[in-house]
Amino acid sequence: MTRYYSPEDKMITLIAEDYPLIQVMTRFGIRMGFGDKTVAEVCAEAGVDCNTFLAVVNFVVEGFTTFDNSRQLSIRSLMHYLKQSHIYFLEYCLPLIRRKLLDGINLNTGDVSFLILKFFDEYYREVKTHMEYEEKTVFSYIELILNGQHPANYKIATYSDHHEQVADKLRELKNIIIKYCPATADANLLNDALYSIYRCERELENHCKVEDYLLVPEILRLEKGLTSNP
Amino acid sequence: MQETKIHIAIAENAPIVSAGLTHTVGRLPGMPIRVTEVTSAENLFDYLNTSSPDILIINPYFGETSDIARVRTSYPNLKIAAVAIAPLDRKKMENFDDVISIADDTETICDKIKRMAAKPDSLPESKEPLSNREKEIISLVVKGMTNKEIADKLFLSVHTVITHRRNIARKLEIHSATGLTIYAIVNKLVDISELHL
Repeated sequence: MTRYYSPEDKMITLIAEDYPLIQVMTRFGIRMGFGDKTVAEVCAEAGVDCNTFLAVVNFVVEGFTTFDNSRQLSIRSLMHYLKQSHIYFLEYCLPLIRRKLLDGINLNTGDVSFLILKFFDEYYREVKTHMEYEEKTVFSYIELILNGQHPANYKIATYSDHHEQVADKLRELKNIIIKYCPATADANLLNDALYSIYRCERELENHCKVEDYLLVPEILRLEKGLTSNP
Repeated sequence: MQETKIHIAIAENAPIVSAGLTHTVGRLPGMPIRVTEVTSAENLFDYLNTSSPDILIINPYFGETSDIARVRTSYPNLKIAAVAIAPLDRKKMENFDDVISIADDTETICDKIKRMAAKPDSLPESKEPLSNREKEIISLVVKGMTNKEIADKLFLSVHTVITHRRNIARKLEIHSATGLTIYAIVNKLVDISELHL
């Protein structure tokens, strides 16, 4: 399969052509200020598995659609990346949306504005529970697999496909705000909150696709290896 | 919304065809679709094991000749369409639910996918207005009554109440109690002062 970017490309080329890749860079722990170094050099200095970094980069660039288990990823690097994404959503992205909502909706007990905030807080708790489940159950299972153990009571296939709910609920929040928000809200501030929700929704969908299309196929491959040589 | 999103997997080795299908199918008017490309037979089976797409669009020459029969047997509910770059012979076509030709226009592809997904129109339900009974149930739900209490009050079975609630969620595209409360207040089905919030 053709890859858009290779280890010999300059890091700045990637970012200049596809700015959403700065997010990927940050989550792998690569900081700005890399000058004209190539992807391979920057990764080596930051202690990042270059192949895994590029797999995520190329997956983002091609539009998050290809399910492929021949990528030969470092699963630990990928899990590190996913954990950093969780931190991004729970500690940065969603709290920022909450602050923007709070600024925009003009909290007032006489109308539904506080219920919109309540809806958001319930949603936040759901996302948090979901991501904690992933780290506690799924990632721990993967650690066992990586150590050559094969717990009988779990399969990675159990984990897929209940995923989209996380982003769908955000769509519901957005629709509720657009359809039912009281007129007392500040239009510009509320628009700003909505823009952030739209972006977060897309980022969450894409995050889930990294899990489903990059992580899951690798684990399936490992599971097969373990069953065939016991 | 979630219920109407159609999942389509594309199994095709030629990148132009695969990318073309992904692009075309992914932006059909009025149809929320999620597309996944798979690049080898092994990936196809892994994907089908972990996800449950509604439709598979596959090149008849993808993988081994027996793969399509294998997919059929393992996933009887999956609709399978062939992608035809050149005219397919009749014998080949018999294995598929439909054939999508690279000469098809957007409308034709749209119709074929709708037919296969058995979702003739994606969104008519949400345009249906709520019935009076449904409005009544909403007001009781947001006042904090359980399904059992609502059933007793309205002389319905719990099962009927649950069916009503499912229809309400579908029509309004609201799936949580807080969301429903917001709807009920804004549409004056309840007064905010009646609620214990």
